[in-house]
Amino acid sequence: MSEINNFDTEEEKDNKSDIVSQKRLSHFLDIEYLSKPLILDILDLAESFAGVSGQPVKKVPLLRGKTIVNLFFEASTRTRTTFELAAKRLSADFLNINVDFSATKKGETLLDTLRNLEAMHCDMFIVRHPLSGAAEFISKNVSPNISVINAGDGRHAHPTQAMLDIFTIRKYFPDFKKIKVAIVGDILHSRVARSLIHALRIVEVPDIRVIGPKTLLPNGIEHMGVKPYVDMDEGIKNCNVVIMLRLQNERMDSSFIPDEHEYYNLYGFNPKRTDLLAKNGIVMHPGPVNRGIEISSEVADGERSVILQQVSNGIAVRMAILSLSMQPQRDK
Amino acid sequence: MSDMIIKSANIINPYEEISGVHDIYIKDGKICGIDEDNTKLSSPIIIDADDCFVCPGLIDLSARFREPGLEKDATISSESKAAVASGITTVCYMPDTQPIIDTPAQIKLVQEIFKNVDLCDVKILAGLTKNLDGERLSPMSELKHAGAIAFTNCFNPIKNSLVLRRIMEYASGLDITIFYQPQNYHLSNGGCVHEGKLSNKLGLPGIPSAAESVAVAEAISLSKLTGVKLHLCRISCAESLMLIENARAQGIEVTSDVAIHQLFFDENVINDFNSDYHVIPPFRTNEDLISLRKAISTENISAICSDHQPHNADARQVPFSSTLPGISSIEVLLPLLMELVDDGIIDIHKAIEKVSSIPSKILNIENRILKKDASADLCIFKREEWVFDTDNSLSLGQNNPFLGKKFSTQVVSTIRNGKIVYQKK
Repeated sequence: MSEINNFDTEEEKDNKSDIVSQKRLSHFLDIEYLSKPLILDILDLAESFAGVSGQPVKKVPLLRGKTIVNLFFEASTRTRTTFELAAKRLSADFLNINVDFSATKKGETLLDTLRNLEAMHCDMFIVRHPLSGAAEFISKNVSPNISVINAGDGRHAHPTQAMLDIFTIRKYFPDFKKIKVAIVGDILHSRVARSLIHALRIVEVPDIRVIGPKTLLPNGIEHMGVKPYVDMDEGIKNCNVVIMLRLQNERMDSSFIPDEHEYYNLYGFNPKRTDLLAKNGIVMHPGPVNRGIEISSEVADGERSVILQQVSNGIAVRMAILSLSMQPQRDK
Repeated sequence: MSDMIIKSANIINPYEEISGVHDIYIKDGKICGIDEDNTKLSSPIIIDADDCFVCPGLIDLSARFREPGLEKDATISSESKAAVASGITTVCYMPDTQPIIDTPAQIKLVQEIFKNVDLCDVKILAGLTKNLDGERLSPMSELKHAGAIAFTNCFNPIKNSLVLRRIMEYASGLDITIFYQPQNYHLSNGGCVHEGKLSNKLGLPGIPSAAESVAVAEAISLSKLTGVKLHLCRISCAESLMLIENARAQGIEVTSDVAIHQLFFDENVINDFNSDYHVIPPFRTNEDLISLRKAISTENISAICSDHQPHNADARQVPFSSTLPGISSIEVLLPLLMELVDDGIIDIHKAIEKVSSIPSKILNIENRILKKDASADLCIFKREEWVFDTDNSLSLGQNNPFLGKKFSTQVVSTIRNGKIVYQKK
C-alpha cells in the first residue's frame, strides 16, 4: 500500500473533527488517498487565508524561520509563482531552483541534488518533474524532517491544482453532491485531469464526465468513475462546471488529432456552447490558455469564465497546503 | 572427475522416462546406469539423496550475466555461482552485452570466460542483426560456426516487416532458430507498464497487450512463409497464447517461453510506483496472469526461463520510468517453479520438463533427461523452508523483489558433467 499523504497514524485518518488544527500531512503527493473531511478542512483553511491577500500587509507569520525550496525540473509560470507567493505570505524563506538548467545538466543525479539541498537544512521541497512518480520517489528518499509537495509529476498528478479547482467550484456551487462536472480535452496526458477526477469523486460529485477524441481518452478511463464522451455537445449538456484542458501543440504532430481547426470545431468552447450549460454554469481552465484552439476569447474573457479566480485562489489553497504540510514536531 | 553414486534419488523426469526412487551411477561425466552397477566404479563418491528429489540440470533459456562491458552490474563468475546454486547447469546467454555479441571473436571471448569459471555451460545467442540495429543481417553462418546456438535481437526492434522476412528467410536456409521477443516498437511507444487500469491511474506510459500480439501474429505469419524455426520469448498476455494455439493447430512449429516472475504478478504490483516490478514485457492484467498459469501445462508455453537481468543499486535510484527494467531472478527459478507445483498449477514432471528437456529440444542439443548414457547434469533439491535474503543471495543483482521471501525448495547439490559444481553448506 502506498504511504503517500499518510497521516501520523491511521486512526487519525478517521477522526473527522477538527483535523486541521491537530493533524499534519507528512507530504502532499496525490489527492487519491485524502479523506473527504480533510479535503473540506483544507478548503476551509484556504478560505481563511484568502483574506490575507486583501490586507494592506499581506503576511501571516505561520512559517517564519522555515525554508521552502521550489524544485522545478520543468518549466512553469503560474504554479511556480503562486507557490512562491503562498510561501512568502506565510513568512517562509523561499528559494527557487530551476534544476533543469543547473546541476542535472552537469550530470548530477537527482538523489545527489536532493542530498545537497538537505545539507542546506531546508524544510520543504515543492517538486515539479516531467516523470510520473518523481514526487513520490523524492518523498521516499528525503530525510524524514522534510516535506514534499507535488507541484505536478509527469502525467500522474497535480494535486494542488485539483484542490484550487474544487475550491473555485465550491465558491459557485457549495453543494458538491448536486453538480455535474465535465473535463474536456487531452485527458490521456493530463495530470490535472487525473487529480481532479480523484478530488471530485472524493467530495462526492455524482456526475463526472471526460470529453475528448478517443485518441486522447485513455483506454478504460471509466474505471476511474467517470463517463467518457466523444461528442462535446452531448457531454457538456446541463453541466454546472466545464474544465477545459490545454491542448499541447505536439499532439498534432503525433497523430492524436488532425489539426487545430478540426479540434476547435469538435472540442473548442465557443460562445454557442455556453447555451448548453446549466443555468449559472461556469467555465474553467488551469492555464496557460490556447485561445482559438480549446477556447474562444469570448468565452475565456466572458461572464461564465472563472479562469482568473482560479489563479488567485491558487495562492490561498497553496498557503493552506503548505501550512498543513510543514512538520514542526520533527524539527531538529 | 570422480565416479559417483547418488543413492535413493527420487528422480523427476518427463512422464515417459524413468521416475521414482533409484540409485544413479555416474562415470566419466555420464550416467552409466540406474539401479544397476554394470561398470566397475573406482572409489566412487557416494551421495545420499534420501528425502531429496533429483532432476536433470536446469537449462535457463534466457540469462544476462552482463560480462563483457557491464561488470558493474554482474560478472560471469558471480552469476555462474548463483546459477549452479539454483540447479542450473546450462544458460542461454543474450547478446546485448557491450560490445554486442555479433562477431565470432565475441563468441570466443564469452566462451573462454565461461570455460575459465568452469561452473555451468553456456549456449550463446548471437545478435540477429549487426549491433542489434534491426536492419543489417549479422554473419549468421560464421557465428553459428563459432558456436552460436541461436539468434536474437533481444528487446531491439527489427526495422520493418520486410527486414524480418529477409532475416527469417536467411536463417531458415542455414537451419537457424530465431529467438524473437515479440513487441511492436511503435505500439509500445516508450511505455513502461501495461496499458490499463494502473497506467491510467499512475499516469505512466503504457504498453498495450496488442503491442505483443500484433508482433506474435506477424512473426507467426512470416515463419509460415519462410519456414524458419521460431521461438517466441517472454509471452505475457492471453491474446498471444491464442495466436500460438492457432498456429500450432495449423501445424506451424512455433515454440515459446515465459519468464518465471510473469507467472506470479499482475499490473497491480506497481501500485505505488514500485520499480522492483519494472519488467519488459510488463506485468499485465489478472486475466492474463491466470491464462499464463493455465498455459504452462499446455504446449502453448513450451518452456519457462528466469529472464535473469541483474542491475546494480543505482539502476533503481531514479523515478519509475527511468529505472532499468528486469529482475535478478536466476536464484528463484526453481523455488518459484516448485511453488507453482505446490499450488496445483502444474504437475512436477511437467514443471521440470519445462526447464530441462523441452529447452534442450528448442536448442537442438542432447535431450536433458536422466537416463543411462546421458550427460551427468543434475540437480538435487530438498523440500525445506528457507528465506531468500541478501546474506544468501549470490547474484550481484540488487533488483530483486523476492528478497525476504520464504521458499520451500532448496538446492542441495548441483552436478555438471559428473562434477559437483555446487554443494549446499
